[in-house]
Formats: sequence, C-alpha cells, structure tokens
Amino acid sequence: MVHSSRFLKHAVLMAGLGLLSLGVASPVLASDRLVIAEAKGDRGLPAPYAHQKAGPAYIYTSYIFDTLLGQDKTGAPAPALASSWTVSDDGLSYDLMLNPKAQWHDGKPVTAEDVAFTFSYMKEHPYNFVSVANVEKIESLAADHVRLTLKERDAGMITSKLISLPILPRHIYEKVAIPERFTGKQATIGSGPYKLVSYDKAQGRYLYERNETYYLGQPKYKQLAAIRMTPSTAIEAIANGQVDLYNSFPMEQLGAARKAGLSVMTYLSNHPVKLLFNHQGKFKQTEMRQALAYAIDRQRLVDVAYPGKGEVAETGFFQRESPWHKDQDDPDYKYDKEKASQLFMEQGWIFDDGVWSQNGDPVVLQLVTNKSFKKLATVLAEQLTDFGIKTETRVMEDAAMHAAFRDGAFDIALETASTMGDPDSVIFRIFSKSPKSDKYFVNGRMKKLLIDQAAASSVGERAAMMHEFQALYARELPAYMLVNPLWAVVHSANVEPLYMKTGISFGIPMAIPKRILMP
Amino acid sequence: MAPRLLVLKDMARVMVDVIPIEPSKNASDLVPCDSASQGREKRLPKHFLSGLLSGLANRFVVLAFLVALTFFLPRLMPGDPLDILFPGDLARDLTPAEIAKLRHQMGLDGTLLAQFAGYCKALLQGDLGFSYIHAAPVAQLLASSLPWTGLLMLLATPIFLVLGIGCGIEAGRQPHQLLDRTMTTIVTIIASLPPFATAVLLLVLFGFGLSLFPVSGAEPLFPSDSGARRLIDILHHAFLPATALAMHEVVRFYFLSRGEAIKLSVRPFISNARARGVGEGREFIHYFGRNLVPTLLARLSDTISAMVTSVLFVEIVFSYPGIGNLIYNAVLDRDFALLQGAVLGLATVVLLVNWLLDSAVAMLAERG
Repeated sequence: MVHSSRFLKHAVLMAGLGLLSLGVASPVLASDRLVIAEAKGDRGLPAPYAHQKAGPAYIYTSYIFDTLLGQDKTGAPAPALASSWTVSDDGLSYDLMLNPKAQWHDGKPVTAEDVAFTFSYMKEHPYNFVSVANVEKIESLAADHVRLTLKERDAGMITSKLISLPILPRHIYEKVAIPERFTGKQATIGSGPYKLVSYDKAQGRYLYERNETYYLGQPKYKQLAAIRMTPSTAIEAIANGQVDLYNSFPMEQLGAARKAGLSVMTYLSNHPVKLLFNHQGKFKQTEMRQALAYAIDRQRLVDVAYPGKGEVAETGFFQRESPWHKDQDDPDYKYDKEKASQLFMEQGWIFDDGVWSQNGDPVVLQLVTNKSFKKLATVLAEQLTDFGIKTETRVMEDAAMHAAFRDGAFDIALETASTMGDPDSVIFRIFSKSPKSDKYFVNGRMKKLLIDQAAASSVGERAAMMHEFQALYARELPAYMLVNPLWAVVHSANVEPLYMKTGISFGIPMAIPKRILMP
Repeated sequence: MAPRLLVLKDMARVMVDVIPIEPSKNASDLVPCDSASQGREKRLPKHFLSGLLSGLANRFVVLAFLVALTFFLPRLMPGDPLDILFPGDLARDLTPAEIAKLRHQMGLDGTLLAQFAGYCKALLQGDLGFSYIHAAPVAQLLASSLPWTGLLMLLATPIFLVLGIGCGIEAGRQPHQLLDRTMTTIVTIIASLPPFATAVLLLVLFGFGLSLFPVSGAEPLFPSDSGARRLIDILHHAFLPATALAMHEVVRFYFLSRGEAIKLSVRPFISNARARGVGEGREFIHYFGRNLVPTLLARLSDTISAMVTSVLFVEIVFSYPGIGNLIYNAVLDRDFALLQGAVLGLATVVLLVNWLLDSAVAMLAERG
C-alpha cells in the first residue's frame, strides 16, 4: 500500500510535468471554429519543405502559405498574392502585380523581392511539388511588380505551377541552409489566411488562428483545427458539434453517418485503382496487355468489390469529369473471353484443359497489392483463374510492394494515383520510376505529346493533344484503369466542402481547399 | 526476536526461500533502523558493489548489441525509404542528383558498414539522427511521445499492483474458499484474453457503451486553459488505456501473490499470529504483504519490458499518442533513424529500470 501511494504520487507528478511540456491551450469559441478530422492526423510540420509529401499535408500547409495565384470555386486560377497578371505573346514572359496589402504573419510586407527570392531559393533547394528549372530569370521590377522569364514556353505555368508554388518570406528563409531541417516556429510564417498556433505531432493535432489582416478579406473562421480521429468516433463528434468535417470518410461506414443525420458528400475521386503491368516481363507487348484487359470483367469487379462505392474507370487516363477528357471512341475493353483468347493465342499462349500455358508451362501470374485493395485483388484473381490463368496474390505493405516493383518481382499489381490536375503532371505519373507511376518507359508518340503539350499556344491546341494522348493511352495501356472509386466527406452545417474537378493545386482530389475558409 | 524476515539466497533476484519472522509492531521498520543494521548497510561488501557494477556493464553490452541489431535488422526488410518519402503521383520526379543528395543527407549512401560507423559516431556524440518522414530530429520526436507512454505506464503500475497483489493476497490467505475461487475464476478469464482484446473490450464497454470515458486521444479536442481542469482531462483520457495496460499485469501479480500467500498461510508464524488475534489488516500488510516485497520487486523488473510490449497495442487501440504509434509507423515507413532511436530509447529506459530494480532486490538480499 505504501508503494502504491508512492506510485500514485509519481503518476500525478508526471502528469503535471507533462502538462508543462504541452503548452497552453487557446480559448475555445465553438460557434466560430472549424474542426477538420481525419484518420491519420499527423502530416508533418506545415512548412513547405517539412511537411509530408502527400496531398493532405500540402493542403494543411496551404492554409498558411499563399501562392501567387489561387483557385476560384471551379478550380480556375484566381488572384492571390498576385492581384493581376499578364503573359507575353510568346508565352515566355509573365508579369505579376502583387497585392500591396499582403503581409507576412510577422507583419512584414510581401514584396517582389520575396517572390524573386522564392524562385531562386527553390532552384538551389528543389521543392518537391513544383519544379522551377524552366525559369530562366526572375526580376523584381518594383515592390509590387515581378517578371518571370522562362527558357521555354510552358502551357501549365499558371494552371499548375503558379497556383501550387508557395511563396517564402525572404527575411526568414535566406538564413536557412537546409530547409528540410528547418522546423522551428519561424518555418511556419507565411502570408496565408491562417497562422499556425500549435502543432502537436504526437497527438496529430494542428491549431490555427485567423489572420486578421489577411489581404483578401477576413477568413471565415476565427479558429481552425485539424485533428486525428477514428471515423466511428467522428460520427458522434460531428453530431455533438465538436467536429465539423471528416475528410476521406470510409465508404463502409457512411450508413452509420447518414443514420446519425449527418451531411454526406460523395464524389468521384478521379484517383482510379489501376492495374500496373511489369513492362519488362510478360506484359511487354501491347497486345498482351490488351488481351488481359479483355479477360477482366470490370463491371463485375465494381459490383463485387465496390458496390455503390465507385464506377468503371475510363481507360484513357483522364476520367470523365476531367476538363481534359473527351468522349471519343476509345477502346473500353468490354469483357470478351473470345477476344482475349484470340489475342493470347496470337502471342503464342496455348489453352489446354482449361489452363493457359506458355512454352509448355502453365501460366502463373504474380499479383501484388497492398491491403487497401485486398478485396479487389481477390475478385480479380478469381476472374483470371476462371479464365484459365492461375493468379497468385501477395498482399504487402507499401515498402515491400515498392521493392517488388523495383526488383521486377511481379507480373501485375494494383495501385492508385491521381489523374487530376494540369496535363503538366501527367508525364511523371506514367513515365517515371516512382512507385505509383505506370513505369512505362516507351519513347513513343504518347510521351512526345506529353512533352509537346507544354509548348501549346492555346488551350484548344493543348486539348487536342491531350485527346490524342487519351486515345493512345487507352490503346497502349501503360496501366489499365479498373475502378474510379467514390470518396466521401461527412460534415456539419457549419461548413460546405468544395470539390473542384481540376483538383486542388497540382491535382489533389479532396474537398477541403483553402477556398472553403474564405468569406 | 529480531524484527525481520526474508532471505534471498540468490543474488539474481529469485527468491528461493522465505523465512518469515513475526514483524515488529512498528509498521515502518521494514528497513532496519537500529544502529547495527545501519552499520551493516554502510559496509556493503565489495562483491556486492562489484555485482552492481557488473550488472550495469552487462546492460551496456546488451545496449551495444541492440545498437547493432536495430541498425542492421530494419535494413534487411524490403523497401527503400526514399520510395516511401516520395511515393509520388503528386510530387514531381526527382533528378538523380537530388536523389543522391537526399541519400547522403539521410545517411543512406556508402556501404552498410560505413553507414553503421557513421551512425555509431553520431550516437556517441549524442545525436540520435533525423527523421525525414517527420522532418524532425529523432530526439525531439521521442521527447514528444515518450511522456505519454510513460504516463500510461505510471498510471497502470498502481492499478496492477493494488489489484493484483491485493486480490492475490486476499485469495491466498484463505485458499480454496469462496472468495479465492471466485476471484481466481475471474482472473483466469482475464488471463485468457490477449492484451489488445482486453483493450478493445474496455473501449467498447466503457467508452462506446456506457460513455464513461473518452474513446480516443489523450486530451479533449480543445484543452482547457485551467491547469487543474486539463490535468483531470488528461487523467480521464488515460484511465481506460492505463487500465487496459494494467489488466495483463494484474493477472501476473495476482497469481504470484496468491501462490506466495498460500505458502505463507500454512506457516506457523501466521497460525500463531491468528491465534494471538492479530487484526486482519495487520495480518494482510505486515505478515503477508511485507514478506512478498522481494518477490514482487523481482517480478516488477520483468513487468517493465512486458508493459512496453503491451503499451504498443494499447496506444493503437485507443489512438493514444505515444511511442507505439511512432514505432509502428517507423516500421511501415522504413524510417530507420526513428526506428533505431525509438527502440534504443525504450531499451535504455527498460534496462535502466531493470538494473535499478535488480539492485534493490540484491540490496534487500544482502541485508538479509
């Protein structure tokens, strides 16, 4: 008993010490506050070089750091730090007039010097989401006038780069040699609508306060919080007004949310689940990929693995809601066993006794996936096995799956990636070695179109190129788009989520853009 | 009759035999307070001190072994930390020069042995490394997580000590009676549940079902400005996870205390005491409780490492901030620096506490 009381004293003492280390809470005004919750919570310090390299982390940082151009409710470019802009006829020179009211959170004005500094700093310290390699020169012509000169025309300069690249305060970052390691309080001084009050990594919790002197007008909520919470807990929390919005709410639990009377918004994610091929292995030939595509019943995949939670994806990369998508006569690979068999036989495969074989050996496919697509993988493997192709499924954690990609230790794989944003970013999603990319290293017309689109002199010309790309993608199948899943946001009446069909900035398919915080 | 007790024949903390002697009337004199015994304490024999030092040295060897193990083992897992850092449909493609620079910054270039040498050198300078996934020094990450884990363990300790020992002694004092049979049945049922199942059960019952306790996190969404209120909130949030953490240890301490109490209950000095009409409270504390101290202390030493294992599950079930989530994600993210730092940090605490407890047991044994 004596020991127990000592332990109790220690526990209370430690809790007290813990409190001291936790900092002081801000006043709470529930009626004037927006609380966003999600399952993961911690996305890293919301500073441009320090946050994690994923969509939600970028969005949390964008509440603090403004870009030269923003996005309106449709996703189109809108004034932000630059109140107006002009582009020269040759598309190489951009003149931007800065909003004279813009200030950093520490009260210093945002000037052309800051903009010029950001570009030169990012040349030296490459920023993960936007490349400035094509910027040849940046001139600060006046305190509120900056001119960018490009090496080559870039049709995505505004709709991809200028709406995504955060502007850094020169007076802070000029002293920072390794920005990835710059994690002090000053690293989060931006010019955006919200200031960071506290960030608790262990609890996955961000607390922001309104920037009262924001140059575009007073932001809607006095206080903003982003927190970690499980979906089942969030249903109750939204119902009793503690939380306002749950981002990426699991579709399986939407029934419970609706039953609790909560508002639900679902949208096509345009972040399709795609079938990746090992282009160095059995599926090097386009005809082999096409054959496999015909052997898969995608509608049945949706019906079984995504009932009411998605639709059959478009095969030509861009999904049907994309401004770059065109309804055209692309192959849709409607389930056709005969056509699939014919194509396989043309490639030397033999069908005997219900089993496909190649060079005398039964064909066995290695299908790898992570646990997110386990059900889809199971249904897919069943379909292929029924077709006569034995399919062995390996469910892996991401790092192990990425290693399998690198080692070529797979035949087919399930992965998901965004198809949104400016065409500028498409080339990376198909032709790079990155894990989510199609890893399709064929230097053909498709790649040329994606390079040349940057030089397009008009939106129409660019669109025509993208429509040709769409047809080629659907024919060549660098990856086979299977399902376009629905994503969901559950929210209270205190907030109206906004889903822009171009995605946030460089194509983040989420409904919590900075715009929802604006008056 | 000299007021004391216990003989530990084995310096390595296992109590082999107990020769209980009727305790003194003064409840506080478990520690010898007469001048003779004080003199004995001051003249700790050399072999005792060298035993303590060799125990410490052994633990340094274990720690050094762990340094190597935590460095090489994670690197045997498939996967490249850079792929996790830049999974990439949104981030742009990195150039080979950028990748090389990043590998260098992350200490991932050069041979494995060269990396290990660099890591050891940094470690000797007190640098646990930098987590690029979290963009924060490992020491800072541990400093923000360990207090929460420590709080859970500190709160769980009195729970399992009071419940486990209290119920164990009470059951063992009257073996095979109704109370013993009832409590042993309940504890056996609890023992059959793995720690994470106990955690889920508590969560569902007292969190979601009865809504008596918060179901996740360590604090309310918006902590109170008042320090006292905040402390209460923190304790309120910690109660369920701490109880879940304690339950498995309750079982261990229950059976240990019960077994020892049964052995003691047939000893003549207990019969004599009961014949003399010694009160139940006094019998409980002075005749049973004090005689169990070395055994329980020795078990506590094992308990620390068992709790560290359990706390990882508990933190995940209750979405509690702590080192469990940190380690779990470090494994998935191939965040080598963080994984190494977290395991070493925990191991250091466990080994140190383990050494202190062993030393306490040895000291008790030395005093006879």
